[in-house]
Amino acid sequence: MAYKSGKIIDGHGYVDILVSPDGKVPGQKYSALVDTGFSGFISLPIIAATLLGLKAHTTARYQLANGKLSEPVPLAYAFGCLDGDSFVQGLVCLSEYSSAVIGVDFLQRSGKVVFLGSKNIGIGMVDEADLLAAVKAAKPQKKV
Amino acid sequence: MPESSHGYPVPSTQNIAQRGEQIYREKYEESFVKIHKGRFAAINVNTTEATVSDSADEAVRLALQKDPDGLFHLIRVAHQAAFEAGWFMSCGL
Repeated sequence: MAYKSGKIIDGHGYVDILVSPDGKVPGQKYSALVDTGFSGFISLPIIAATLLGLKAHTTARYQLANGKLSEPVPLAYAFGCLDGDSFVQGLVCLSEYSSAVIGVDFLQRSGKVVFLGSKNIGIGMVDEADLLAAVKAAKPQKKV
Repeated sequence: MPESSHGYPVPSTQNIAQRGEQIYREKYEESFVKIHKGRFAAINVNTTEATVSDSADEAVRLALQKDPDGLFHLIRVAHQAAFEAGWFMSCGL
């Protein structure tokens, strides 16, 4: 099973992602925070998105964890993937945050499952299809 | 102020969002909450047209097909906002 490991920094899980404006060029690598509370695809700092040449055409707001609404943010289409995987397309939020962030839409489009474990395991991702196949193949042990 | 291909000045992110929200409230909200609850609507702030789909990505893609130079505001019908942010993003990293 292909396993992509990440790292834990200050208690937050990060994985390496690639983002490309057109899915053809190799893409720029970012260390992205994994935020399963974020329902979107990828959030990139505005300066990073500008350097990539992303063209914003849409705006949207987030509902913050405290229930309040964010200021509107620009959105642009781009391609993203875990480092070493195939690109998938989605709407990238251009935000004021200092870090790239991946959300639930990224995981769904990429077909990934996130593992969070002890400090020796940290954070990692596997293909959902591989995980389901492995679970199905595993035979339950008989009690003696 | 730079001009869009429509010949209008390019508005700010704040202007696009406010205009899109105003169009949605005045023209679509009452009917959309009955028939499109939970779906995404991309509001073209130049033409006031709304494009609705099950995903944010698809709503914007279809809206751009109709007007490749359009500017849009994304709404999730019957939700406070199009997206939800986790604690990390809410705390401003």
